[in-house]
Amino acid sequence: MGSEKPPSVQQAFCELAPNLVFYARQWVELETAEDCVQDVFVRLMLQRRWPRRLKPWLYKSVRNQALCALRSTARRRRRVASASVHSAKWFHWDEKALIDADAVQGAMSRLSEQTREVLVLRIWAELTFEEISGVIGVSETAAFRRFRSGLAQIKDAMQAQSAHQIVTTTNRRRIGNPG
Amino acid sequence: MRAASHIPLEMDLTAGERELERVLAELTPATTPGILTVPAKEMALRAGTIRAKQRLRVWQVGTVLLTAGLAAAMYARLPGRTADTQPVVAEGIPDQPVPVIVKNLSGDTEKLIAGIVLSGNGLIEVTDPNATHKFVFMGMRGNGDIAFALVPLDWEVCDH
Repeated sequence: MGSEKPPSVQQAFCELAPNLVFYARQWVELETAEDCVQDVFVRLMLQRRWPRRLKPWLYKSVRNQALCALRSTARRRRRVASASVHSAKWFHWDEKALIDADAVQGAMSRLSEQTREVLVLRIWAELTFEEISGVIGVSETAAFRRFRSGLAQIKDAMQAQSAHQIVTTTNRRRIGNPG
Repeated sequence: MRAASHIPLEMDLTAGERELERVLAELTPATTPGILTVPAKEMALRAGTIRAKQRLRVWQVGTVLLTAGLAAAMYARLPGRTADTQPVVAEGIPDQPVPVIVKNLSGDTEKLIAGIVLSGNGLIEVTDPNATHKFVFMGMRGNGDIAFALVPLDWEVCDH
Protein backbone atom coordinates (compact mmCIF):
# COMPACT_ATOMS: atom_id res chain seq x y z
CA MET A 1 0.00 0.00 0.00
CA GLY A 2 2.58 2.59 1.11
CA SER A 3 1.91 6.07 -0.17
CA GLU A 4 0.08 4.87 -3.26
CA LYS A 5 -3.63 5.42 -3.47
CA PRO A 6 -5.46 2.10 -3.45
CA PRO A 7 -8.06 1.55 -6.16
CA SER A 8 -10.96 2.02 -3.79
CA VAL A 9 -11.90 2.66 -0.21
CA GLN A 10 -13.63 -0.69 -0.19
CA GLN A 11 -10.39 -2.44 -1.04
CA ALA A 12 -8.50 -0.56 1.63
CA PHE A 13 -11.27 -1.40 4.06
CA CYS A 14 -11.15 -5.11 3.29
CA GLU A 15 -7.39 -5.12 3.57
CA LEU A 16 -6.93 -3.09 6.73
CA ALA A 17 -10.18 -3.17 8.70
CA PRO A 18 -9.52 -6.35 10.72
CA ASN A 19 -6.19 -5.11 12.03
CA LEU A 20 -7.60 -1.65 12.66
CA VAL A 21 -10.42 -3.19 14.68
CA PHE A 22 -7.89 -5.22 16.60
CA TYR A 23 -5.93 -2.06 17.31
CA ALA A 24 -9.04 -0.18 18.49
CA ARG A 25 -9.89 -3.05 20.79
CA GLN A 26 -6.97 -2.05 22.97
CA TRP A 27 -9.33 0.58 24.35
CA VAL A 28 -12.91 -0.33 23.51
CA GLU A 29 -15.17 -3.31 23.07
CA LEU A 30 -15.37 -5.12 19.76
CA GLU A 31 -18.61 -3.49 18.58
CA THR A 32 -17.39 -0.01 19.42
CA ALA A 33 -14.06 -0.77 17.78
CA GLU A 34 -15.82 -1.75 14.56
CA ASP A 35 -17.89 1.42 14.69
CA CYS A 36 -14.74 3.46 15.15
CA VAL A 37 -13.10 1.85 12.13
CA GLN A 38 -16.16 2.40 9.95
CA ASP A 39 -16.36 6.02 11.07
CA VAL A 40 -12.74 6.52 10.13
CA PHE A 41 -13.31 5.08 6.66
CA VAL A 42 -16.32 7.32 6.20
CA ARG A 43 -14.09 10.22 7.17
CA LEU A 44 -11.56 8.98 4.65
CA MET A 45 -14.25 9.25 1.99
CA LEU A 46 -14.87 12.83 3.03
CA GLN A 47 -11.22 13.76 2.59
CA ARG A 48 -10.62 16.01 -0.35
CA ARG A 49 -7.07 14.74 -0.56
CA TRP A 50 -6.08 11.15 -0.01
CA PRO A 51 -3.65 10.96 2.94
CA ARG A 52 -0.05 10.84 1.83
CA ARG A 53 0.62 7.78 3.97
CA LEU A 54 -2.67 6.00 4.27
CA LYS A 55 -1.89 3.32 6.81
CA PRO A 56 -0.39 5.52 9.55
CA TRP A 57 -3.21 8.00 8.93
CA LEU A 58 -5.80 5.29 9.43
CA TYR A 59 -4.18 3.96 12.58
CA LYS A 60 -3.85 7.41 14.06
CA SER A 61 -7.46 8.25 13.21
CA VAL A 62 -8.70 4.97 14.67
CA ARG A 63 -6.65 5.64 17.80
CA ASN A 64 -8.20 9.08 18.20
CA GLN A 65 -11.66 7.75 17.51
CA ALA A 66 -11.30 4.90 19.99
CA LEU A 67 -9.92 7.16 22.70
CA CYS A 68 -12.74 9.58 22.04
CA ALA A 69 -15.29 6.79 22.37
CA LEU A 70 -13.58 5.67 25.54
CA ARG A 71 -13.63 9.14 27.06
CA SER A 72 -17.27 9.56 26.21
CA THR A 73 -18.06 6.65 28.48
CA ALA A 74 -16.10 8.35 31.29
CA ARG A 75 -15.08 4.98 32.59
CA ARG A 76 -11.71 4.66 30.96
CA ARG A 77 -9.87 2.66 33.55
CA ARG A 78 -12.65 0.19 34.08
CA ARG A 79 -13.25 -0.23 30.38
CA VAL A 80 -9.56 -0.76 29.64
CA ALA A 81 -9.41 -3.47 32.23
CA SER A 82 -12.59 -4.96 30.91
CA ALA A 83 -11.48 -4.81 27.29
CA SER A 84 -8.08 -6.23 28.09
CA VAL A 85 -8.98 -9.10 30.32
CA HIS A 86 -12.61 -10.07 30.13
CA SER A 87 -13.66 -9.40 26.58
CA ALA A 88 -14.05 -11.93 23.80
CA LYS A 89 -11.15 -13.59 22.10
CA TRP A 90 -8.65 -11.37 20.39
CA PHE A 91 -7.43 -13.93 17.87
CA HIS A 92 -8.99 -16.47 15.58
CA TRP A 93 -8.27 -19.99 16.68
CA ASP A 94 -5.84 -21.66 14.33
CA GLU A 95 -4.78 -25.22 14.92
CA LYS A 96 -1.68 -24.71 12.80
CA ALA A 97 -0.49 -21.77 14.88
CA LEU A 98 2.79 -22.37 16.65
CA ILE A 99 1.66 -20.50 19.72
CA ASP A 100 -1.39 -20.64 21.96
CA ALA A 101 -3.59 -17.65 21.07
CA ASP A 102 -5.31 -17.61 24.47
CA ALA A 103 -1.98 -17.58 26.24
CA VAL A 104 -0.80 -14.72 24.05
CA GLN A 105 -4.00 -12.83 24.80
CA GLY A 106 -3.50 -13.40 28.51
CA ALA A 107 0.11 -12.26 28.33
CA MET A 108 -0.77 -9.22 26.26
CA SER A 109 -3.58 -8.21 28.56
CA ARG A 110 -1.05 -7.97 31.36
CA LEU A 111 1.15 -5.59 29.40
CA SER A 112 0.90 -1.89 29.94
CA GLU A 113 -1.37 -0.07 27.52
CA GLN A 114 1.55 1.72 25.86
CA THR A 115 3.61 -1.42 25.40
CA ARG A 116 0.68 -3.40 24.04
CA GLU A 117 -0.13 -0.64 21.61
CA VAL A 118 3.38 -0.68 20.15
CA LEU A 119 3.29 -4.47 19.80
CA VAL A 120 0.00 -4.35 17.93
CA LEU A 121 1.17 -1.58 15.64
CA ARG A 122 4.41 -3.32 14.89
CA ILE A 123 3.37 -6.94 14.55
CA TRP A 124 -0.19 -6.85 13.25
CA ALA A 125 -0.40 -3.41 11.69
CA GLU A 126 3.04 -3.90 10.18
CA LEU A 127 4.08 -0.30 10.70
CA THR A 128 7.68 0.77 10.83
CA PHE A 129 9.02 2.29 14.04
CA GLU A 130 9.08 5.65 12.31
CA GLU A 131 5.38 5.33 11.53
CA ILE A 132 4.62 4.06 15.04
CA SER A 133 6.34 7.06 16.56
CA GLY A 134 4.15 9.28 14.40
CA VAL A 135 0.97 7.49 15.40
CA ILE A 136 1.48 7.41 19.15
CA GLY A 137 3.61 10.50 19.51
CA VAL A 138 6.83 9.11 20.98
CA SER A 139 10.34 8.84 19.61
CA GLU A 140 11.38 5.89 17.50
CA THR A 141 13.80 4.78 20.17
CA ALA A 142 11.10 4.83 22.83
CA ALA A 143 8.78 2.86 20.56
CA PHE A 144 11.51 0.30 19.91
CA ARG A 145 12.25 0.03 23.62
CA ARG A 146 8.60 -0.59 24.39
CA PHE A 147 8.40 -3.17 21.63
CA ARG A 148 11.39 -5.03 22.90
CA SER A 149 10.11 -4.89 26.47
CA GLY A 150 6.74 -6.20 25.32
CA LEU A 151 8.32 -9.11 23.48
CA ALA A 152 10.37 -9.98 26.55
CA GLN A 153 7.33 -9.90 28.80
CA ILE A 154 5.36 -12.11 26.45
CA LYS A 155 8.25 -14.52 26.22
CA ASP A 156 8.49 -14.70 30.02
CA ALA A 157 4.75 -15.19 30.34
CA MET A 158 4.77 -18.01 27.79
CA GLN A 159 7.68 -19.72 29.49
CA ALA A 160 6.03 -19.40 32.89
CA GLN A 161 2.85 -20.87 31.49
CA SER A 162 4.71 -23.79 29.93
CA ALA A 163 6.42 -24.48 33.25
CA HIS A 164 3.10 -24.29 35.05
CA GLN A 165 1.55 -26.72 32.59
CA ILE A 166 4.39 -29.20 33.06
CA VAL A 167 4.04 -29.01 36.85
CA THR A 168 0.26 -29.38 36.68
CA THR A 169 0.51 -32.38 34.37
CA THR A 170 3.08 -34.02 36.62
CA ASN A 171 0.93 -33.44 39.69
CA ARG A 172 -2.11 -34.91 37.96
CA ARG A 173 -0.11 -37.98 37.03
CA ARG A 174 1.05 -38.31 40.62
CA ILE A 175 -2.51 -38.02 41.90
CA GLY A 176 -3.66 -40.51 39.28
CA ASN A 177 -0.86 -42.99 40.18
CA PRO A 178 -0.14 -42.52 43.88
CA GLY A 179 1.96 -45.63 44.03
CA MET B 1 -0.18 -17.38 6.82
CA ARG B 2 1.75 -14.19 7.29
CA ALA B 3 5.42 -14.12 7.89
CA ALA B 4 7.29 -11.32 9.57
CA SER B 5 9.67 -10.98 6.66
CA HIS B 6 7.89 -7.77 5.64
CA ILE B 7 9.15 -6.05 8.77
CA PRO B 8 12.37 -4.24 7.95
CA LEU B 9 15.37 -4.65 10.15
CA GLU B 10 15.39 -1.11 11.43
CA MET B 11 16.66 -1.82 14.88
CA ASP B 12 18.65 -4.64 16.32
CA LEU B 13 16.53 -7.54 17.44
CA THR B 14 17.93 -10.82 18.60
CA ALA B 15 17.15 -13.97 16.66
CA GLY B 16 14.87 -15.11 19.48
CA GLU B 17 12.94 -11.85 19.47
CA ARG B 18 12.59 -11.97 15.71
CA GLU B 19 11.32 -15.54 15.90
CA LEU B 20 8.78 -14.63 18.56
CA GLU B 21 7.69 -11.68 16.45
CA ARG B 22 7.23 -13.98 13.45
CA VAL B 23 5.22 -16.49 15.46
CA LEU B 24 2.99 -13.78 16.93
CA ALA B 25 2.41 -12.33 13.48
CA GLU B 26 0.87 -15.62 12.46
CA LEU B 27 -2.02 -15.08 14.83
CA THR B 28 -5.00 -13.55 13.05
CA PRO B 29 -6.91 -10.84 14.92
CA ALA B 30 -10.52 -11.77 15.51
CA THR B 31 -13.30 -9.59 14.18
CA THR B 32 -17.01 -9.97 13.71
CA PRO B 33 -17.55 -12.06 10.57
CA GLY B 34 -19.72 -9.30 9.11
CA ILE B 35 -17.18 -6.53 9.43
CA LEU B 36 -15.83 -6.99 5.94
CA THR B 37 -19.22 -7.31 4.33
CA VAL B 38 -20.07 -3.68 4.96
CA PRO B 39 -20.79 -2.59 1.42
CA ALA B 40 -19.06 0.40 -0.04
CA LYS B 41 -22.47 1.81 -0.89
CA GLU B 42 -23.44 1.95 2.75
CA MET B 43 -20.30 3.83 3.70
CA ALA B 44 -20.64 6.08 0.68
CA LEU B 45 -24.21 6.81 1.74
CA ARG B 46 -23.05 7.77 5.21
CA ALA B 47 -20.33 9.94 3.76
CA GLY B 48 -22.87 11.56 1.46
CA THR B 49 -25.20 12.22 4.38
CA ILE B 50 -22.42 13.80 6.39
CA ARG B 51 -21.40 15.91 3.42
CA ALA B 52 -24.98 17.05 2.93
CA LYS B 53 -25.21 17.91 6.62
CA GLN B 54 -22.00 19.90 6.38
CA ARG B 55 -23.36 21.82 3.41
CA LEU B 56 -26.62 22.42 5.25
CA ARG B 57 -24.68 23.66 8.26
CA VAL B 58 -22.82 26.13 6.06
CA TRP B 59 -26.11 27.43 4.72
CA GLN B 60 -27.58 27.59 8.20
CA VAL B 61 -24.63 29.54 9.51
CA GLY B 62 -24.79 31.84 6.50
CA THR B 63 -28.50 32.44 7.00
CA VAL B 64 -28.07 33.10 10.71
CA LEU B 65 -25.25 35.55 10.05
CA LEU B 66 -27.29 37.30 7.36
CA THR B 67 -30.31 37.54 9.63
CA ALA B 68 -28.16 38.82 12.47
CA GLY B 69 -26.63 41.40 10.15
CA LEU B 70 -30.03 42.56 8.97
CA ALA B 71 -31.32 42.71 12.51
CA ALA B 72 -28.28 44.69 13.59
CA ALA B 73 -28.74 47.06 10.67
CA MET B 74 -32.41 47.57 11.52
CA TYR B 75 -31.65 47.99 15.19
CA ALA B 76 -29.04 50.57 14.33
CA ARG B 77 -31.75 52.63 12.63
CA LEU B 78 -34.28 52.22 15.39
CA PRO B 79 -32.69 54.59 17.88
CA GLY B 80 -33.45 57.41 15.44
CA ARG B 81 -37.11 56.69 15.90
CA THR B 82 -37.62 55.43 19.39
CA ALA B 83 -34.52 55.79 21.50
CA ASP B 84 -34.52 58.17 24.42
CA THR B 85 -38.27 58.17 24.55
CA GLN B 86 -40.78 57.55 27.22
CA PRO B 87 -44.11 55.88 26.67
CA VAL B 88 -47.09 58.03 27.43
CA VAL B 89 -50.54 56.70 28.05
CA ALA B 90 -53.46 58.96 27.25
CA GLU B 91 -57.00 58.16 28.07
CA GLY B 92 -59.65 60.14 26.34
CA ILE B 93 -61.40 60.80 23.08
CA PRO B 94 -60.14 62.67 20.00
CA ASP B 95 -60.52 66.47 19.75
CA GLN B 96 -60.98 66.80 23.49
CA PRO B 97 -58.42 68.21 25.96
CA VAL B 98 -57.27 65.42 28.20
CA PRO B 99 -54.83 65.04 31.02
CA VAL B 100 -51.92 62.90 30.03
CA ILE B 101 -50.08 60.78 32.52
CA VAL B 102 -46.43 60.35 31.70
CA LYS B 103 -44.80 57.24 32.98
CA ASN B 104 -41.29 56.00 32.66
CA LEU B 105 -40.64 52.62 31.16
CA SER B 106 -40.83 50.79 34.45
CA GLY B 107 -44.00 52.68 35.31
CA ASP B 108 -42.59 54.14 38.53
CA THR B 109 -42.69 57.86 37.95
CA GLU B 110 -45.89 59.59 37.06
CA LYS B 111 -46.30 63.11 35.88
CA LEU B 112 -49.41 64.94 34.84
CA ILE B 113 -49.29 67.13 31.75
CA ALA B 114 -52.33 69.30 31.26
CA GLY B 115 -53.66 70.98 28.17
CA ILE B 116 -53.01 68.35 25.54
CA VAL B 117 -55.36 67.84 22.68
CA LEU B 118 -55.74 64.58 20.84
CA SER B 119 -56.44 65.44 17.24
CA GLY B 120 -58.54 63.28 15.01
CA ASN B 121 -55.60 61.98 13.02
CA GLY B 122 -53.84 60.75 16.13
CA LEU B 123 -51.34 63.59 16.37
CA ILE B 124 -50.97 65.51 19.58
CA GLU B 125 -50.79 69.18 20.03
CA VAL B 126 -48.83 70.42 23.00
CA THR B 127 -50.14 73.72 24.23
CA ASP B 128 -47.17 74.57 26.40
CA PRO B 129 -44.97 77.03 24.40
CA ASN B 130 -41.92 76.09 26.43
CA ALA B 131 -42.22 72.42 25.58
CA THR B 132 -39.01 70.77 24.46
CA HIS B 133 -40.60 67.45 23.57
CA LYS B 134 -43.48 66.27 21.51
CA PHE B 135 -45.60 63.18 21.59
CA VAL B 136 -45.61 60.60 18.87
CA PHE B 137 -48.47 58.23 18.44
CA MET B 138 -47.28 54.66 18.98
CA GLY B 139 -50.52 52.74 18.69
CA MET B 140 -53.52 51.49 20.56
CA ARG B 141 -53.07 49.07 23.40
CA GLY B 142 -55.21 46.05 24.06
CA ASN B 143 -57.09 47.75 26.86
CA GLY B 144 -58.00 50.74 24.70
CA ASP B 145 -55.27 53.05 25.98
CA ILE B 146 -53.36 55.05 23.42
CA ALA B 147 -49.61 54.78 23.61
CA PHE B 148 -47.27 57.65 22.78
CA ALA B 149 -43.59 58.25 22.75
CA LEU B 150 -42.11 61.46 24.07
CA VAL B 151 -39.39 62.65 21.67
CA PRO B 152 -37.48 65.91 21.24
CA LEU B 153 -39.25 68.53 19.14
CA ASP B 154 -36.64 68.58 16.40
CA TRP B 155 -36.95 64.88 15.73
CA GLU B 156 -38.60 63.72 12.58
CA VAL B 157 -41.34 61.20 12.86
CA CYS B 158 -41.20 58.37 10.41
CA ASP B 159 -44.31 56.53 9.36
CA HIS B 160 -44.26 52.81 10.04
